[in-house]
Amino acid sequence: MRRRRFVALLVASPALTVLLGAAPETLPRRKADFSFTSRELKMRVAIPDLLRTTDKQAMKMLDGGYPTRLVYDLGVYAKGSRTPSSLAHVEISVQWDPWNQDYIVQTTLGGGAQPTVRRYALRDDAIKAATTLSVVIAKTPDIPRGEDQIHFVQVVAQRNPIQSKSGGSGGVARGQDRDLEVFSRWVGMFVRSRPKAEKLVEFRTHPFYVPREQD
Amino acid sequence: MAASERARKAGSRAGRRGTQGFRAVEQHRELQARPPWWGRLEARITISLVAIGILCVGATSYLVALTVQYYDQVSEQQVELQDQALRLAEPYYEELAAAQREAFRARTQLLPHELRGLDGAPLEAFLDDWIRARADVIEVVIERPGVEAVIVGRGADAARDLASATGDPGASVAVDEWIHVPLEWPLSETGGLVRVTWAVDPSIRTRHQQLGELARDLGAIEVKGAGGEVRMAERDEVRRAVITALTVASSLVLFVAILAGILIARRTTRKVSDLSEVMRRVASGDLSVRAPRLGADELGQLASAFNTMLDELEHTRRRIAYLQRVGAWQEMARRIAHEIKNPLTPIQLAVQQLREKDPGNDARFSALLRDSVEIVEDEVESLRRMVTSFSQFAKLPEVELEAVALARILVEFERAYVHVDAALEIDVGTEGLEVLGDRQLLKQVLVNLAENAALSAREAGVEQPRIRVSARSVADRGVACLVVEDNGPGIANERRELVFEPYETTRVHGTGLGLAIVKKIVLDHGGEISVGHSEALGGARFEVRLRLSGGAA
Repeated sequence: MRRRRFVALLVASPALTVLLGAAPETLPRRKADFSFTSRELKMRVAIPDLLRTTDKQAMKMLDGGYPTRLVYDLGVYAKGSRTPSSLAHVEISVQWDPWNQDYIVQTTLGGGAQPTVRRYALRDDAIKAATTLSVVIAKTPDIPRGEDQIHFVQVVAQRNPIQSKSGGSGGVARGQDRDLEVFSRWVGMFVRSRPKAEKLVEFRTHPFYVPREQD
Repeated sequence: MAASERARKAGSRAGRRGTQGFRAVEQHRELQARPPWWGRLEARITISLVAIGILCVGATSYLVALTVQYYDQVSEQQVELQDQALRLAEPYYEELAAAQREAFRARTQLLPHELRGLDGAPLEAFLDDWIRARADVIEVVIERPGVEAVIVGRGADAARDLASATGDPGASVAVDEWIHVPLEWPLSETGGLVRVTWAVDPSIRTRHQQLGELARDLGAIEVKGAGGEVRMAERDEVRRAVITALTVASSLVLFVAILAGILIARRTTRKVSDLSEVMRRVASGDLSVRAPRLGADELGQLASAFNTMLDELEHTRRRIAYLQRVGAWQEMARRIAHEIKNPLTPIQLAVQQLREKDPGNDARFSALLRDSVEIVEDEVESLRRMVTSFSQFAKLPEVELEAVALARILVEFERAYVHVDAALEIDVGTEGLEVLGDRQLLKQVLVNLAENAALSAREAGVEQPRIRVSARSVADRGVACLVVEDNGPGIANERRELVFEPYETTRVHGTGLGLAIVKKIVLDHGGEISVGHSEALGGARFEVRLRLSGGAA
C-alpha cells in the first residue's frame, strides 16, 4: 500500500511551456508541493508576498487588532483547458488578540466546514502560518492520472478583498434622479476601479501529474 | 502754341481713357476673383460660431470643474475628520482589552484568598456559587499538588448568563463565540494553581472589526459602471472620472455645436454666395442669370428683388433694342418711300399720255396699249399703297400721354371698325377705367390688331371671322389690359416673338408693318404687348398692358 506518494513535480520543460498557452497558463509559475492519497490531492505552497512584515500599513492594521483576511481561490486545470476540473476556496483570518496577547489564525475551508483556530505568540509565526497553504485541492478520483495527463493549479490570493456595501439603489429613478443615474453611469465608465483587494497575488504552479495506480 | 496745347489735351484725354480702360479691366478682374477661404463669409461665420462654442463650453467646463473641486475639498475635509475620529477611537480597543485583562487578573488573584477561608466546605459548591456570582466567568480550574484537579464551569444556561452580563439577555451568542481569557495564579506558597477563564463580549471585537473596515474603506466611493454594476473606487479617481466624463461630454456637445454651426453657416452663406455669384455674372454682362429661390427671409427677399430688377433690366434692354431696330426700319422705310414715291407720278402721267395719244388706227395695238397701261397703273397704285404704308410706318406721330377712358377708345374703335370684315364683340369691362395714353394711337392699335385678326382668319379660310375686344384692370399691378382675341389660325409658339418684327408676315398681302406699328405704339406708351392662344375663341390672343392713370385703380 503506498501512502503519500510523492507526485512528480515536473520542472518546467520548454516542451511543456509550449504546450501550455491558454489564459490561466500565462500566469507566472511558482513552486508547490503536491501529495496525494487514494482520496485526496493536497498542495502546499507558500505565498509570503501576500502579507509581509515590511508592509507597514498592513502591520499597523494587524497590530491595531483589525483582522486581516486572506482569501485563496484555487483551481485545478488540465493542460490546455480553460475550465477548472476542481475548485477550492480557503479563507484565513489573522488577528491580534489584546486580551490573550497573542495572534489568532482562523482558517475556514469552503463547503461549510467549521473553522479551525490556531494561536501564535509571535506575529511572524502567525503570518507564516497564514501565508502557507496546505490544503486539499481535489479528490484524487476526479483527477485523470498518467504521465500524459498534465495539470497545474491556478492560485488567486487576495488580502482583505473589498466588498461593496450596498446592492445598488432599488426602484426605477425618475426625472432628475434618472438623469443623475445616467450621469452616474456615464462617470462610472471613466472610473478605474479600485483594486479588488489590498493585495492580489496570482500565479500558477508548476505542471504536475498523478501517476497511474499500479496493479 | 495753341496746337501743342490741343495735342496735350488730346493726349491727356487719351491717357484718361486708357486709365479708365485699365481700371475697368481691373474692376472686372476683381469681380471675377474669389476671395481666399479665410476671407469668405462662410469661413468667418463658421470660425466665429466655433470660437463662441469653444468659449461657452470651455467656460462652462471650467466652472463645473471648479464646482467639482470645491465639493471634493468639502468631501476631503469630511474624510479627514472621519479619519481623525477613527484614529482617536483606535487605541481604545487595546486600552479596553488591557484594562479588562488587568481587572480579570486582579479578580483571579482574589480567588486563592477566598479559597483559604473555605474551612472544609465542599470546593465544587463554593466554586459553583463563585461562578454564579460572576456573570463573566466561564470556567474555574483548581490544581492542587497530589490532588486531582477540580474543574467547575457554567451549566446549560451559560449562554444566557453571559448574555445578562452584557445587559442584553435576549442576545443568544454561543459560549464558544465569546472571547475566552484564561488567567492563572498560584494557589499558595506550597503549590497549586488557580485558572479562571473569563468571558469578554464578542461584540466588542465585532465593532472593532467594523471600525477597521471603515478605516480601510475611508475615502472609497461606490460607483456604478455602465451596466449598473457597483464598484469601489478611490475619491481622487472618482474626481478624475467626473472631470474626464465632463470633458468628454463637453467635447461631444462642442462637436455637435461645431457641426450645427458649420451646417447653419453653410446654409446661410450659401445663399449669399449664390447671390454673389449671380451678381458677378450680371456684372460680367450676363443678364440671363437669375438668383435661385432663397426662401422667405431677408436674403430671399433680396434675391427676389434682385431678380425683379434683372427682369426689369432685361425688359428695358429688349425694349430699347426693339425700338432701335424699329427706328432703323422706320428710317429705311422713309427713304424707300421717298425714293419710290417720287417717280410714281411721272410714270402714271406718262402712261396716261400714252393712252390719250393713242390714234386708234390699229385696234390690236390699242387693246395692247390699254392692257399695258392698266397693268402699269395697277402696279403704280400698288406701289403707292406700299409707299403710303411705309410713310405711315416711318412717320408715326409722337405719343401725347393723357388720361383717357378705355370705354371711349373702345366706342370710337367700334365706330371706326365698320370697314373690317368680321363679327366684333366688345366688352368694356370696368367702367371708368382710365389709362395714360394717346387716344388716336391706341385706337390705331386696336384697328391694326382687328384688321390683322380678320385678314388672318379670312386667309385661313374661316368663313365667319370673330373678334372679341375686352378691357380689364389688374389693380394690384396698376395696369389695364386690352385683349384682342380671334377665331383665326392663331400664332405658333416659335413665331410669337417674331410677329412684332417689321416686315415679318405670313399673309400673302401683308406688309409686316401692322403689328410692328402696334408694338412701337405700345412701347412708346411704356406698356407691354404679348401674344398667346385664345382659350375662348381658339385663335390668337393679343394682350396690351397700359399704365393706369393716377386716379384710376
